[in-house]
Amino acid sequence: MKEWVDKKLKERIIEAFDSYEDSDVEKGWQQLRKTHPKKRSKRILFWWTSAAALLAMLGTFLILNPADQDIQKQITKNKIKPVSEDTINGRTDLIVKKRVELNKDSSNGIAFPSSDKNPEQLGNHINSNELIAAIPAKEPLKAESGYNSVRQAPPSPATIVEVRVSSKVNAFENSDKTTEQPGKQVDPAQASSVTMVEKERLQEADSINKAIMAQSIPGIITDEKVSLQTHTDDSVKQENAVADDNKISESHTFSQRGDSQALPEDETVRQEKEASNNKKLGLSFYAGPFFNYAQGSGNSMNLGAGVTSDISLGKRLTLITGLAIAKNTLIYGNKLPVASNRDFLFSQQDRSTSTGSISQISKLEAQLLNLDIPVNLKYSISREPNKVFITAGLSSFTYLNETYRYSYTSQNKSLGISSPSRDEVINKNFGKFDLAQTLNMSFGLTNSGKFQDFVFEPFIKYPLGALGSQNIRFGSAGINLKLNIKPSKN
Amino acid sequence: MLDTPGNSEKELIRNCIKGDILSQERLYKHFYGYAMGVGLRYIFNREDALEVVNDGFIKAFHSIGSFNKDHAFKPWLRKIIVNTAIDRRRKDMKHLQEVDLEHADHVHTQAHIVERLSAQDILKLLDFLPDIQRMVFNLYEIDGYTHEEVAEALNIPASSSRTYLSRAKDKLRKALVLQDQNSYERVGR
Repeated sequence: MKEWVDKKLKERIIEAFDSYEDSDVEKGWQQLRKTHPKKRSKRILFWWTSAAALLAMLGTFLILNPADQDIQKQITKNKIKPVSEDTINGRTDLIVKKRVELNKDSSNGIAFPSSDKNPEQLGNHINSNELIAAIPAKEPLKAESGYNSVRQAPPSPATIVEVRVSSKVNAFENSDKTTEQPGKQVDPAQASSVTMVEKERLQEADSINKAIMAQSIPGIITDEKVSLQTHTDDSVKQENAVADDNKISESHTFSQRGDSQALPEDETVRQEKEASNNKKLGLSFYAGPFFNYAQGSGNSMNLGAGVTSDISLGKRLTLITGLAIAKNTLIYGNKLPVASNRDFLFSQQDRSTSTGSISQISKLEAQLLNLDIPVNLKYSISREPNKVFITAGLSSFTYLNETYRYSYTSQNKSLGISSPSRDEVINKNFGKFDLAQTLNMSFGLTNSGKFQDFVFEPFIKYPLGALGSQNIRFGSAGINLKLNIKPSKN
Repeated sequence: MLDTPGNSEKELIRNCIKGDILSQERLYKHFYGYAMGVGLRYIFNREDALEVVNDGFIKAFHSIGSFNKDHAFKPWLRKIIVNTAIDRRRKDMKHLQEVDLEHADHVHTQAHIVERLSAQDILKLLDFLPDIQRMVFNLYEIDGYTHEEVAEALNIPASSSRTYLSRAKDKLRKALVLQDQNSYERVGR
């Protein structure tokens, strides 16, 4: 009898607890979330970290490698070795801009101080009225083939000497001789051939160049300066010489150029204005077609438009943020997104349980009208007139409207009856905010106009997480046509 | 019932393996009742039972990758909950209770008494058992452990497991009679 009771009790316990129901499920889940807080998905964490690392690397690169790369390129192009920063900082503060008009007779009288350390190098052939050269320290220009090398005493390191010579005469006809006599001492008395007026003009030019240099970053010479001072005009006959370090101001570098003005002041002013304008806030309007893509969904074309503000962070780096609106459409056939399928089936579960029917989704059409808040970094690869740039960043979304249209059939297995396909629409407004759930990447080409830029910008948005109330992972790819309003010149 | 619940359960498990929080919530809510039933059989206090259940779910979410999807999920989850309850017993013996049922009258137990028992009635019966006897009874009789496994889980000799089981059954029979008498008294008033 005891065994019989024990057996019945055991069976009853198993039966009762196999279908045990408890109404405090919500409370239980809340307690679980409280004691075990939600952790960020590892994947999201990975993308966040990657994006942050990428941006940090880009930023570091830009900070540590400022515009002197451009100078390097320009100098290389002109076959002049760059002036080292140390040299500039340590040994020179001087830019001498000299305009020396020499007449035929006096040309031979120009003094070229020399020393044992820095033998003179004189060019022999000056045909133009003006001679300008930028000679880096201890790196005399090599005479290029085809040129009649003019050897001269180069300035002290990084000293840039700009000399205008009005002579049409071969001032240094015997360059070979000069070259063969690098240590040749020039009679100081010959320097007196430079008139007092010329000296005054030299001092004036000197002060102008000092002012220009003071506005520049130490050790960095802007492209324009370098290019101006290292011209490669066909008419130019370039010459180099080595100067005595201790007589910087007296050293001269000669080069020839066709025009009569060197490093015009308005060029500097223009640069300053440009830099000033670049720092201002820009405004862009854009619109463009794009395709949505998602696993299991067909591609459908949509349209988006928005406005962005461009905040200059540096010479090449711009922070772009703004607001855009876009309609996203996803059409699923058999392969539904997991979350949507699950949610719909669960929503149908009670109904199905009571009727004993089975629901089968045949199609899902999701339409999401979203507001996109992008935060991107733009890096300009090339400069005017046709800028090429790349951008990368993250987008956050909120949804003005979400419409999910389910097409499904119901089947009652016990009765063997199938219902015809029915539609059920789920509508939500402002249901969710997805913070930084999309990675933005694009490149673009800018066609600069006078008051605005036209930008052609193919882009791709890659989903980092599930989007919308149904947690669908989808991205988009398309082309934005952008109108960039330039900031005013004032 | 949907044709898809099985599929839904498998989908949920697949997504839980991927770490989808929403799927974890679904799975939790789907099996919460069952898990609480298991927990309450082992733990006197409801709050403590909920803690055991939640700890069990967390363990399940962490180790769900090792779950064989060809097998049913319930037995796997039950085992986790039971083990969690055992772990808790090791840590906390505060619920140890001794109820003297020796004076309960030994009356002829009717089959219908057992069949009328609800889950709540059963829990009340189990509350009469001392902690160790309750554990042994549940493990051996309901969850299918052997005496050796019970002994290992509770860190007691297998012979003790047999003794505890015998005492538990005896007390349950007495408690059953007592409960039946009480219910008669309530009805008679």
